[in-house]
Amino acid sequence: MIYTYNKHNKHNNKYYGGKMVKKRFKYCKYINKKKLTELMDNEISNVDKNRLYEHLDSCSKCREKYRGMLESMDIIGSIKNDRDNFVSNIKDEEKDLAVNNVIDAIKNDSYVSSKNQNKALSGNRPKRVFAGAIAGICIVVFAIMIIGVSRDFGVFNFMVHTGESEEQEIAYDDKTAIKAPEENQVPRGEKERTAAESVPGQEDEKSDFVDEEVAFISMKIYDFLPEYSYTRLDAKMRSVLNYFETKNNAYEYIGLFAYPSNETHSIASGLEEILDNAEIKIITGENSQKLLEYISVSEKESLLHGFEQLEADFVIILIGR
Amino acid sequence: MPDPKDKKLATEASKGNIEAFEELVDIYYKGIVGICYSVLGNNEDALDCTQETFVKAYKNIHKYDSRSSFFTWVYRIAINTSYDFVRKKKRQREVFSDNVIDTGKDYVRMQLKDEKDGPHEKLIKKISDVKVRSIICSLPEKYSRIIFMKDIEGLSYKEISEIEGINEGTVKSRLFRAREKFADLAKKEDLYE
Repeated sequence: MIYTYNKHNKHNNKYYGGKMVKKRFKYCKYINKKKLTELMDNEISNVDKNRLYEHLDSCSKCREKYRGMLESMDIIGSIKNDRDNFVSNIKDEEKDLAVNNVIDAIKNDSYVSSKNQNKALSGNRPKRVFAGAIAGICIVVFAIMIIGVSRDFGVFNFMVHTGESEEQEIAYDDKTAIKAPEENQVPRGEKERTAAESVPGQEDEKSDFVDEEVAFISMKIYDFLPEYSYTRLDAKMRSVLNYFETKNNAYEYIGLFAYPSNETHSIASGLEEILDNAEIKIITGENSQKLLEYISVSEKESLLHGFEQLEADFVIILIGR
Repeated sequence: MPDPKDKKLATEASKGNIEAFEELVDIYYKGIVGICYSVLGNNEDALDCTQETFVKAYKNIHKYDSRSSFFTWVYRIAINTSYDFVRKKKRQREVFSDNVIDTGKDYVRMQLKDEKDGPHEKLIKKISDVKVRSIICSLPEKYSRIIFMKDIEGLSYKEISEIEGINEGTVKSRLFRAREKFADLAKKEDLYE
């Protein structure tokens, strides 16, 4: 179809050598997304509102273009009407308590960060950064290995944590692999004791754990990184501890189930700072068999699921008295 | 424009005066719990998130330039922290059990306002609210944020533009697209039959 040039439709159509190509309907000065948003929020001036409705009555293109949204206006309105259901409402006395908790958290957090700063200023920062990088690489490697191996837990051996280096621990594990699990566990507080002293039937801790209440916190390693970690951990720990308190069950043991790495120790000491008088046992990834014996089947599955599916690096286990 | 009192308190807090910061927390606590609750839909997480928001705010108080209001600054931290929580929750959902990790007696308990309704009505409303929230959360983040801020929290275009760092026109058109997507999904879910 051939059209001649017409000044009245020059804005909507393009002409190429006398032939008109209809331009896709795009803009309209009377109605657009911004104006419709203002209309929905009832923040449009009366003049604009009247003009908009008049235009909608006369322009079929605009009606067609915005029909979906115009029909949905009541849906949007209903969210606004139900707004109160989405909003929390706390009482003043509850708020005061929560504000105090926030300030406590800030103070605790400042204490930890200032400690970290002091350590950093001691001149060992490059070494610490390097060690951190190595530890990170080790964790990734161990994570990959353990996820691979965890498909068959029968191959796990129990290993004593003696505070020795990883290589020594692994070597030690090889030697003691055939021993019964309960013979080998040493509480972290006694790590200065030698392995030889601690091995033969010191205490049968398994009986202490059986049928006891267990709560899990599974965390990715970044939860333990500086600045972010201690706050988050603190809040989560507190909620777990409160849970035990409400049940008149003080926590007795806190197991830190982790892949073996140097970071495990710093995490454990961080936890000890947060939780006064808590005895934290570090049970390395390869000792999982022993730990898994303590817990019920469903929780065991959660634990394994945590490691396998969510690739959690640490699982902290609190065992009630 | 920032409130001069907030500005003064923020300046004091940046010098390490924790009492000044406590006053700011006291003023804005409810607002921040509100946005965290809107996004997370869970009291325990909302309180956790609020605490983390204020800790982050205190650590970074020196970065607050006092040209914008303290509320919009801390609100931005809160909404980012809430979305961090949502992302974490997605990863950890299958390990965490809300029944195991319960809030203790020291934790604040918040109540929905619809106490006058009967239990059945409450339940229906609650289910519907959960659906609405899940639809909003399933939208791309930039759209869901803006719906939470405008339609749930009732912020003005100006406040949203400050928080998001975009101009008011963009806020409006983004809001339009967000609502359009929300309405499509709500129709598919037969939410408003």
